[in-house]
Amino acid sequence: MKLSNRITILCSSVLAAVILSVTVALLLFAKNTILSLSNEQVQRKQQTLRTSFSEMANYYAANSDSDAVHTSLVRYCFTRFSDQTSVLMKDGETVVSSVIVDPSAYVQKDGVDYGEAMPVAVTVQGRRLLIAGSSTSIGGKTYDVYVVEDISDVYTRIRRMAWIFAGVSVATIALGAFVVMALVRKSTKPVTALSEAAREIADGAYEKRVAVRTKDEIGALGEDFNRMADAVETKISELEERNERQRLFIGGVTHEFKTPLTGLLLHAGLLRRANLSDDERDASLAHIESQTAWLERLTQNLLKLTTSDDEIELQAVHIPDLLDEVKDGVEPKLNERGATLSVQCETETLTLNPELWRSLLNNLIVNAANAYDADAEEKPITLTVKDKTFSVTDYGRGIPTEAQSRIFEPFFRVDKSRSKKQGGSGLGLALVKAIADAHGASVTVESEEGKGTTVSVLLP
Amino acid sequence: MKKRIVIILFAALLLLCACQPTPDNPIVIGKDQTGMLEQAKKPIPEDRKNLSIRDRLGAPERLTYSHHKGNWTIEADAEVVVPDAELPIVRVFPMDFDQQTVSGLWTLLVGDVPMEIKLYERTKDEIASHIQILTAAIDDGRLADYHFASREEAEQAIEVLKRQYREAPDVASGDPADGTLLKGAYLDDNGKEASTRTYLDAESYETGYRFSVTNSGTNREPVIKKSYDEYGREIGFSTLPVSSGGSFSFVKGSEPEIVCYIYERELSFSDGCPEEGGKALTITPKDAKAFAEDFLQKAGMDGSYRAQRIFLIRDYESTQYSYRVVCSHLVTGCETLMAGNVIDFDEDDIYAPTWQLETLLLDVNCNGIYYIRFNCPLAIGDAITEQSNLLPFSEIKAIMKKMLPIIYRNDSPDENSDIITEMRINRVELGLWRVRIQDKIDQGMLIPVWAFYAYKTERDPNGMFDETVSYLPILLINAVDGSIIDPAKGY
Repeated sequence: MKLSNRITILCSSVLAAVILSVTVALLLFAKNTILSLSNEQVQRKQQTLRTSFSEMANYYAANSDSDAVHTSLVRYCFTRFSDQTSVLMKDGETVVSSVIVDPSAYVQKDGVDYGEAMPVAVTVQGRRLLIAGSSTSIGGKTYDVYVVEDISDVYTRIRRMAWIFAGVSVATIALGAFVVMALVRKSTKPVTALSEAAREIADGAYEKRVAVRTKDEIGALGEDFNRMADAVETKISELEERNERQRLFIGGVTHEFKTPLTGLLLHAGLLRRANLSDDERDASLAHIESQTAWLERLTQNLLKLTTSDDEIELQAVHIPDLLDEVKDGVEPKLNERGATLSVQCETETLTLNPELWRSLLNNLIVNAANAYDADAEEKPITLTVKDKTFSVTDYGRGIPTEAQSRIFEPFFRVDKSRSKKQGGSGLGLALVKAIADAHGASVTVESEEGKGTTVSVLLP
Repeated sequence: MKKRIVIILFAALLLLCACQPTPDNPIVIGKDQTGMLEQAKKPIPEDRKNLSIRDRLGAPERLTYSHHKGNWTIEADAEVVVPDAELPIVRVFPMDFDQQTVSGLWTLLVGDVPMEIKLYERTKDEIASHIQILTAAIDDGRLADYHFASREEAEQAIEVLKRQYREAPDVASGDPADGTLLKGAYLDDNGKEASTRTYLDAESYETGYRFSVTNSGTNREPVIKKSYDEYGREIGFSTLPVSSGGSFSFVKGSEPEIVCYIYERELSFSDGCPEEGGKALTITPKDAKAFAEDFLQKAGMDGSYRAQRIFLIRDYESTQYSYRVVCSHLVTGCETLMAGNVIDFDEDDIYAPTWQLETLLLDVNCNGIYYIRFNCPLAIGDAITEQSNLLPFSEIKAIMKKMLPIIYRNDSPDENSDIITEMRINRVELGLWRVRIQDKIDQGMLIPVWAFYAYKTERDPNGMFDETVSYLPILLINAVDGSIIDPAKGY
């Protein structure tokens, strides 16, 4: 069952229970009050009748009166004060009565309340009666004085009142249920909208949002939903990007491995099957060695690249010492290219991962060395460390503008042929970017074709 | 949840059902007369059955009694009248005057005298003319001439007049009357017929004869409706009470006609001509009785009615004197003690159902009967007991002595009053009196009662006195159980 219907039924039930309870309580209270008043009236009436009648009769009664005289006097005196509800009895026999009821059958003469004429409620022939009785003595003889009051009209009025109350209650409950239903439906409409939006997002419409109009909990829920949808959309985009990068990365890795592996297989096959001369054998072995070394380097770089996303250990590093190690590491490559390195360091200590940072600097300088143009006017490759910024500048051939946005992609090479000849795998700058990202550092490139390139890494 | 709702609704239903509809049978049915009837039915001891009523009851020929308290005196020196026949208790019912009876009375009293219908309400023609006048006033825009504020008010008045038109008799004043009863309808405010009755009002301008019959209406509840003027404008309310029994009156012209009369004194049929008015009456009470009996015989009523008492009456404004013969209704040889005048009961409650006592009065002067009034005739039903067991007269006398001062204690002047009040009982009679059964107005009983009649005289120190003749008994004692009967209430 829908939540709105459940809430409507629940609220209507509570409303109905409250209204019915109040109605029943009011009716019972009214009934009891009316009956209590009727009781008092009948009791008072009986007591007044008994007192007035007995006072008059006793005033005129004499011991010398015969039974006939006494009875005539009693009847006369009783008739003076009675009305059609009054009954006078003696020894169980009716003396004066206008009613068809024998009140002595309903009023217990031995009861404690008899003397006080407490009314007794009875139903006779479908009529509701209040009967009050008590005794009095007239000239030494005991008479029972009763009042038989028909209060059927009271019950008729109560019944009429009950019907009116019932009608009003039913109308109020119906109206209340209708109002509750309308309010609940209005309140749960945003929830329905949220549900539909969630369904659409689940179906792939990640741009779907809900309109937030209210400033209550539902409105807050809507805002939170939209924030969640934003996060989901962003995460989906990131995942899709990462997925794409991984796809490209695997594609690149596969492609890079394929070429040297092909060469390795070829030369291994030659060595096993062909009768090669010693020079041919040495050449094949040398090829195998260089390709294997290249694969090793590639593997190491890939390993660094993949583990650079993990949490890295940072420590305070003495930068001048670090730079000295870097210089030693890149010297063979510089000599090979005929390039020189100039190092300027204005920073004493920084917090970083020394191994990864050495690799980063190493790759930047190797890239710069690869870009070094021996035919150009001799200018050294510069490594500058100022505050938290490491910059490597070369005065080589520069990077074309259209390639600058892709130079940090794995396996991307501006000039594939030259890079391969020089032993480059296309992972160097990707590794630089990964290490910088792991440190939370940013990498910027300024390059002009024919004039050189400056790559800067700024630590946070 | 559903279970709880059902339980709550069921409880509410029970509460509503607890208030059951009020049945129609009332609890209050009127005075319980069972005990009295059982007493009356008790067998008379064998050794007393053969005695006369007087001897059996020990009733003397005369009653003497005296009671003094300050200036208040009750005395009795009265003949005690006891019937020879046994006193029954019989059921009685009110009667209307049917066409046969009316025609008989018409023939006897009116004969060939030309009479005209007299209507006290407007005829259809009169109402129709008022409707025309109002309709024309509406069309001409002259409503202000008739004090109507708006067209709607005038149209409502026309609807009232149309209703009255339906209610109006078909005959007109002045149409010849032949003793045929007319039928009249009484419509309520919704135009529904609430009551019908038969009646006849006829008169002769030449002779002064007036013949009037009014029977009881068919409504058993009072009908209250708005009353209107001749143009249908509301002016108040009118009530048609519930009543039983028809009434008849006949006036034989003004010869002289006594319009307002007072009772001078009660006479005896054996008295001579009264001295009052310089012996204006030249006929004796016996002659008056003869006129009355002649009428009863000619009307075929002599078997049921007889002249019982005679009073001297006189006109309030003149010195004209007449006899008033009060007739009694005979039931198995016993006389029903009739009231000497028409009595209006329950004047304080105009909505109370009324059943007046049967009254047959004949006013007689030297020229004979000139006024007849016959009210609420009784139809005699079955006998509850043929021979009632009655209390001895000694008990009745003791009750009288005990109760008279008590009943009239409010009439006795205080000790400082100079007015001397005397109540002189002049007649004691055992007869039948009509009481109602359980307050109904269509069923009653004739029961044996002892009736005490008296004069009441008030005398002041200046010698002025006022004497009142009681045509109604001052004391009525149920001869069966000794209870005091209120003549007005009938029990």
